[in-house]
Amino acid sequence: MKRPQDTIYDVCIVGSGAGGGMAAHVLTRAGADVIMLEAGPRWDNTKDSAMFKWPYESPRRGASTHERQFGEFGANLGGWSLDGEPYTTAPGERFDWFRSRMLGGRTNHWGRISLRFGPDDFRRKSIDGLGDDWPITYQDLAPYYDRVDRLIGIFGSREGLPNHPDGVFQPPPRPRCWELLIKKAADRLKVTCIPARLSILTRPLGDRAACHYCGQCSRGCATNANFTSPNVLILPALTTGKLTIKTGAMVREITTNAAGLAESVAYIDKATLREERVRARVVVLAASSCESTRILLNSRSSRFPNGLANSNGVVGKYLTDTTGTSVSGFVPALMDGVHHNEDGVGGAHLYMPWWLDNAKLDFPRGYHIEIGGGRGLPGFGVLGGIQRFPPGGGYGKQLKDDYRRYYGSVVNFAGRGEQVPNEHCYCEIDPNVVDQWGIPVLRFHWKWADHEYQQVKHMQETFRALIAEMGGTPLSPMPPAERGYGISNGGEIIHELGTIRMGNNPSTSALNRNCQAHDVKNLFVADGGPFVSQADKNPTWTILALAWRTADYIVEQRKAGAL
Amino acid sequence: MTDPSESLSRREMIQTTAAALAAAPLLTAGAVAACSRGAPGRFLTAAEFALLDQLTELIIPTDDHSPGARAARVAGYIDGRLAESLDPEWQALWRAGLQAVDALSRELNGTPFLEAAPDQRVAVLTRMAAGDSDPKTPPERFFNQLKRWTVRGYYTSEIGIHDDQEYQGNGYQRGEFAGFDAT
Repeated sequence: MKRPQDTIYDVCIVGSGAGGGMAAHVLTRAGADVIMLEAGPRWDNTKDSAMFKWPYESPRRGASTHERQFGEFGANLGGWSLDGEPYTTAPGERFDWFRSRMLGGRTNHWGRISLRFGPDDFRRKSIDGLGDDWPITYQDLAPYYDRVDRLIGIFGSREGLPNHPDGVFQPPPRPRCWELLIKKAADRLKVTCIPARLSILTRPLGDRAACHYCGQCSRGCATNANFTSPNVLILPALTTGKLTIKTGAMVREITTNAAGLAESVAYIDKATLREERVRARVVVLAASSCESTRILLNSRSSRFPNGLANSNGVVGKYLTDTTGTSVSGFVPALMDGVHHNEDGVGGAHLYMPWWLDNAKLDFPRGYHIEIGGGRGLPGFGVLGGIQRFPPGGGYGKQLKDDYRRYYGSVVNFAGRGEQVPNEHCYCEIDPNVVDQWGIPVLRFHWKWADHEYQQVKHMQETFRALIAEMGGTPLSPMPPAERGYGISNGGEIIHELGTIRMGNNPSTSALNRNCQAHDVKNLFVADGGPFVSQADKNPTWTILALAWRTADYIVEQRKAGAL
Repeated sequence: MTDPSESLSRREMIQTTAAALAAAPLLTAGAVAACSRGAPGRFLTAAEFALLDQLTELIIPTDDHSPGARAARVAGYIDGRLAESLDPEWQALWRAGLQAVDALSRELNGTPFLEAAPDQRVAVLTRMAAGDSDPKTPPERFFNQLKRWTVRGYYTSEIGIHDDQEYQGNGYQRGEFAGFDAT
């Protein structure tokens, strides 16, 4: 068998999540010889999923473990802390960096909320003077969003809302009982509440089955009814015979040749603990925004002393995450519900896209609202905090009776908002710390600004108004200003973006409008790194569309002999 | 001088270790399955276990609707978690908490908890539960812990999920999501 290091591949892709998977899918179909490096092991949702497992099948009842930080049945290998792979934060600051270590990365366990960015999201600076405009418009990306919709499958409803573009949707599932109650309250408060847009099939697509509504998407779907990078992108790419996957490959750096072009990717083979190199004509980084940043900054040479694609010092800057806060409420109207199966898809069937005009508010960017509730599969932590229910607490027959009556009577509202990039949020190489393989690690700097605090305060007030409108009681008091109105930690929402941003100006951006490094023409980035702004939408659908567009550009340039 | 066969075996050893590390999540899942089949780990003494078993049953008792915490083996669940815990402070908290229950019973009733009459036991638990939402004394804090883990154990058990809460899902639903009409 030929060894990876003996071959010169057309393309080396670092990372196997949404961006890496899409790049592999498009490039192999175009005939390129592709090698994909993934730091974690293989994981196949059709075989490795714990779908349908009951909590009592494990003595831990599904509680999180060191390896499975979202619960032992979850389809995630990785977390905010990894043994032997530290990162640091500036004194007194906090940033939680989530890293996946598995084939397919976070697409294995994400929430499948698949929102397009809207036309305004690409030109925020033109609208409010903050941040920057993207070098591309919605029109540039719209055809790719359409293709992603068709290839992967997404449900939703056509609404014609101005900055929440409709897609090529399969029908959405009916709302659950508790969701209808939330919608009633939202309608009365004039908060837009519409069917969710999730990449879960409600109709068969290709050889993938439609959802069977067990609500356990985060454990990995054994029938492929939801999207993961392996099941929709990577495994089909393997059938072309053009894709080689090397798992357990922890990338250290990209090396360059005398002409200043990327020549090889150096990685630690975790199985042998040896450093290996894979040579390629084109390198696509898709290791996640910050991991790709780390690789670039560690790719230092006399020609590129600041790291690769970083002659202007931009790489690592403009780091953003989605803002978040949540409120749960006890809703008496949901007590004593009729027993029925309300599992549904693994996520809410409704959501609330941003519905207000920031020009009339004291914060510049919007948010959307994700909802939760219902009689889901009782898991570890079920019905916790009942003593906070009015009247909760005590023990004995009364308590047991209360639990029966309260099951399904709690709803949750979680805000997900857009952060404006600021100069205090960035990452860099820590000069004093290395990981277990001797690779220098990232140091994070993080400060939310008033834009975000005011936005989160608005979320809290809105959620409390919604709970009150439902006749309910919040289970926690309003967090005070000193606690940032309950704002999440940086990184906690796992939407870190922007550290290798694209732009038309080579002095203020790392990549051009095709996600190609200004400094190194055979180097591309296909994860969240190129994003110029967050938007109040989850980033995955835009990572996929952008990666497809980037891969198309690579194919075009190769055909034209420019790469 | 390096012995070639030794260096080979060392390399094999490293590879084997690395492969085992890579397969760790699978091993964990296997270990979990083995654990649920075999005898559960024990941390508590027989006397402590008997006290815990009684306390859990008082918190979630058998009633007309469904069996309680004892039938759902909640004490065994908690003891198993304690045995597997790598946190000696958490283990010590339970041991001290159970001792505090007996101490409170002696103070109120003049006997250890399990030797007290049913209404005397209830008096102890009522005192412990007084600070449910804002625990202050050691017995109150222990009650919080005890209740949380009893509830976790009970409502994730077969009896809790199926008999008590009558949960209807976690299976294949064919066709459209039925929602409220499912029953």
